[in-house]
Amino acid sequence: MDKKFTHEAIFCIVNSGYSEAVMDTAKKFGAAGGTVINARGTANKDAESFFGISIQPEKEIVMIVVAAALKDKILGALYDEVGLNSAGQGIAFSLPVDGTVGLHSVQVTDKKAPVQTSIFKAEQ
Amino acid sequence: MSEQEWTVKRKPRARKPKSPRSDFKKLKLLVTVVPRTKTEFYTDFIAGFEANFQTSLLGQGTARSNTLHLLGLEDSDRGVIFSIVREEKCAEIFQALESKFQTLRGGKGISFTIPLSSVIGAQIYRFLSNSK
Repeated sequence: MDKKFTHEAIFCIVNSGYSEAVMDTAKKFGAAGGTVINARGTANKDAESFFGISIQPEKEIVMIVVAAALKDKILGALYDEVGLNSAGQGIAFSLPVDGTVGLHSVQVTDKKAPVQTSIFKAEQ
Repeated sequence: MSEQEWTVKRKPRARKPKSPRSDFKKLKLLVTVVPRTKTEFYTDFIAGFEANFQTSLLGQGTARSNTLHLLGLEDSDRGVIFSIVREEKCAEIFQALESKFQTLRGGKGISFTIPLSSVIGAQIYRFLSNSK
């Protein structure tokens, strides 16, 4: 079943303090905004010592809903800017979104015109 | 008697045809991001659509007005509500949420759904889908 989705939810998990870097990167490619959730990561202590890396437990999860066409560009940019090899030690993944409400669908140029919102549904 | 004579041929047991899963209801993960002061209100609101399982997290919005941010007037505290709902209820929930987002003062938010592919256990499934 090959169903096209109009939007994707990107989840980017980074070390605490790097959520702003995530949002700056995503906004360069058209993301409007996101939500930051504080979290605590778990890591295998043996794997940490074996690979010689230290995982900071305090995390921030940045959740961004974007148009499906922007997903790949944003994920690639996040990998470059806040990926595992950076200070943010971030990972990112996306989940398909098959319906939304409350996202602005029309950019308002006339202040008198009401703000348009619509309910997006995945293409069947 | 030889070993072959003792062999009893049995008729293959007729398998019962699988019942069509007409009562199988697909589930969705409904994510709703609202102002933190309205988290409880929207949790109760969504529960009215047979959402038996919900969890809410504290979050912070990132989209901002530079002017309000400079004046320290921006309230970016958010509540993120994760709810499990039936697919057939989604259209109704979206219509109701859109109405609340537009009419409730200080209650503007966004909501979206992610399809679920599997859950663990029949009892859990019945609970999540409110199948009695």
